[in-house]
Amino acid sequence: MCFEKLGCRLSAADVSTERLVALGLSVVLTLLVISPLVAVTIAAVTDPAGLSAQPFIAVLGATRTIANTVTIAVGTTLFASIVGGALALFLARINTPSRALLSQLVTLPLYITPLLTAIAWSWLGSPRGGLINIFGRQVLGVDGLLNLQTSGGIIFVSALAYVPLPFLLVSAALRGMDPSLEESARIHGATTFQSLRLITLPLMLPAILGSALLVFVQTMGLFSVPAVLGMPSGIYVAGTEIYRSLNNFPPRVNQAAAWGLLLLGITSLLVWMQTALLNRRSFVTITGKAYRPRILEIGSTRYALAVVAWLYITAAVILPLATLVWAALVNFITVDFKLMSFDFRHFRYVLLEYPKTYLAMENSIILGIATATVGCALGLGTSWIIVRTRSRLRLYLDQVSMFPLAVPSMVLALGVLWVYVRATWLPIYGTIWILLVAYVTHYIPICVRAGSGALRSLHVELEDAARITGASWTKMLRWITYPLTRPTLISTWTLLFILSLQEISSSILLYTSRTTVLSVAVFDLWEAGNVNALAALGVIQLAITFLVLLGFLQFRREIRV
Amino acid sequence: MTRVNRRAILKGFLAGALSLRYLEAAAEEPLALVEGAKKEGMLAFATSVSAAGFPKFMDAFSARYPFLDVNSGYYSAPTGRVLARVNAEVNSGNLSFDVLHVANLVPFLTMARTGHLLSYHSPELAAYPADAHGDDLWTTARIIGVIMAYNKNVLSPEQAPKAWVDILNPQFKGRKLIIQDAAAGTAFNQMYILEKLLGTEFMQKWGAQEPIIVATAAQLIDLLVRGEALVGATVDHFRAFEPDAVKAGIVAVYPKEGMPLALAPIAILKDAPHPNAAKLFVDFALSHDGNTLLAHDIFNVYSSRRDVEPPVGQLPLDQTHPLLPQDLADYEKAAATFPEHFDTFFKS
Repeated sequence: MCFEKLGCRLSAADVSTERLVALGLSVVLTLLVISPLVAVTIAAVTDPAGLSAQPFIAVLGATRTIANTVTIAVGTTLFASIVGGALALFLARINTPSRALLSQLVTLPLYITPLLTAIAWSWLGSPRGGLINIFGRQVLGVDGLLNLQTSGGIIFVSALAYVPLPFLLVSAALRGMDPSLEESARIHGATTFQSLRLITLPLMLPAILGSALLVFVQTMGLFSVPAVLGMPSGIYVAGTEIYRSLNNFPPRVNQAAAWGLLLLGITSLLVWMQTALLNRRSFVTITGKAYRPRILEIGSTRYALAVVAWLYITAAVILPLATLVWAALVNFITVDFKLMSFDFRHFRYVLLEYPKTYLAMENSIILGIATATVGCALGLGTSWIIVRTRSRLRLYLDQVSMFPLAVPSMVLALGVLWVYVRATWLPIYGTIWILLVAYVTHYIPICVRAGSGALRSLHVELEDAARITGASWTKMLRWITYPLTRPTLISTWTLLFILSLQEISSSILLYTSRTTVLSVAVFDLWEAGNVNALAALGVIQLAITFLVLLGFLQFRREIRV
Repeated sequence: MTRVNRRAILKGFLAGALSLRYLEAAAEEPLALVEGAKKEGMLAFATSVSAAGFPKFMDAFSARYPFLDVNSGYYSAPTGRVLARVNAEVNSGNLSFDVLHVANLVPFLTMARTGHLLSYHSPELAAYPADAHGDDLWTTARIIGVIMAYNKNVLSPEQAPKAWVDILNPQFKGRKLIIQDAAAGTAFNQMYILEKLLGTEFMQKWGAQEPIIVATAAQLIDLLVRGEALVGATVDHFRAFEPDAVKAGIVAVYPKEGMPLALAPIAILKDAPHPNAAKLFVDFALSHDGNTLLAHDIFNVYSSRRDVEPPVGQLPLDQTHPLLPQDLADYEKAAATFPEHFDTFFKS
């Protein structure tokens, strides 16, 4: 039996399977996302005595912290969008030398925890003990060369970490753009610059705004960079206030929850504004067709563009990594260079004596694999319902799957803690699985967006062909959808694996000694002031990350996806 | 505010010179506890300790009771995070933790008052003075003093402060002092005691010096070693004597007004899921061997147990002019709003 209004694509059995899957996914996402948010909302409007506006009054009264948060988020967004967007243009559309290599290198900061980048830059650029300042004082006789413990410093280091987001999104849009539009502009007498400004840039608006929003949301809840560079100089933001609310005694969990809801509110407003803005105009000239945009040939300026890309890579990757390796090898970092000596004691400590290293590595790898696998399955399933069905639940799934993006992960983890400590019917509290739940919840937006992207690029006719030839819904997924979306799934899987390795904010609240993970081990060393061992473990964590990345690239080459 | 009676402390140390009666009690194997603990199979410990050497303590306990899994339920974090988790468990009625040990007396006073601690008279209590424990509900396992420290490569001994009031000197204005955030029990004790001793005006002037605020005590020493500031003004005394810190030029200063003390009690939670294992753990932490390992060997801090040696290379407790809170009800009340109170001085 066929349903005519669906163009005879679905049998009754398929419709019921789809309904069941949509319902099942709605239940899972509600449990994962909505239940911790409900717990957080309740906490934000209560205090030990009952219903109370006090948490919100306290949060809204912290006007300076709110102003710092917004200033730093706006600054970081502008900086990262301009640099990321410019690099995308230089490397995707202009004949910049070594652009293939540079395109790969520019994405590397995605794989370096912002905490490590911030710590490395604090060693370089703190006002008195920073290496650059010590060098300035002792060698050049100049004091105060660089001070990164400022709002500008936080913006600079945060932007270094987030440039790859606009770079990747704008590059993808530039590559998928119909070149005939630019060509018509050129035929009508526009210069290269004019066609970029009048044609390319406006067409990139959705990608630029989308990536800017992503950076803004991430920075609003950012904790690590402001903690390392802001707290010492009295610059507090929402992320550090949430950390202080939970760390300080007595803990102010209700205030932490109120901060989380405030950020969720601001982000939701921005998403709504972005949607309203983009819906007013049509951007359909960017289609799914495989275009090969023309590379703009420019003169010797192209070398200057390569220098800009190399400068970014030096600041975001080479300098922090070199500083980390240096800190891992020096006995201790102090003001007097003469007191410093080099050996492998910190590597020896983290590899042979620090009791958390191997257990943490094992747990991180298990969690990385589990998060990536569950995340991909959930992402593909949810996005299939959203993109391919007319299920009434698809709008709900679409909205719900985006919520975790807007809530700082420390607050989300607080919600997860409150829900699962009570959920005795699901005894995962205190086990590694509560971390899996927190990670999957945190990364659902990435899973669903990646899945939607892959499905949208896959024409529905291919799936219809399978149906017409009698394949069931599950067979179609197995033999058509999965193989054709595999390249995206493999990339998403690798990204989720690496992000799980770096996740700190929810882990520090939910782990136990048995379920400790690599990022917690690194963070513990930061809180314990054991910075050299931190550098050694950070280097090991990055080595694992880059090995996984290399393995992925090799695998992709072998299967030619 | 009073200084701890010097004679009483000395008397305490002397009286603790290994009473034979105590040794007999300790030698007796608590068979029922061991059998009970074997059935329980694990111990869940929540603590704020972050010392690199602390695993040695857990290993020593494990070596004594190898049938207990001490890792699955172990959680270590700054006091606030530990209590956020313990409170979430207590409020949900789904307690996983057995034993709590943080460097702040207040949560123990509160939990004792609200009936969330288990009463247990450890045989080891015979070796402790009466004021080191509260109604068999909690016992002080370590005592940490808060002092000042500076880096002699950055500041000369003549310029270094000698008293708490010296930190108000104009040379220490503008990110020249480092203090701990309101996270640690030690910081709360110091601020509470100094405000009582020197007045609110002193605290306001201290805040006006715009000190660098760090999240943990250990980070403070790291910044001092790196020469990020001139003086550490919330220093856990033992950290100034750590070999690498001394090698890097760190010098301890015992302020002449006295050294505020933070007590770090240990207690069993009321509905602990593994009460027998918890009792064995508390007995071990309070025993001569266990407490020597914990307070002396690992932390190099003071112990309230009479027969544990004082920390190496540091002033004996009675020569530090130790300062303790006097009115415990006021002390507990002040703790409830400490983060906000701290922010009024130090976070403009």
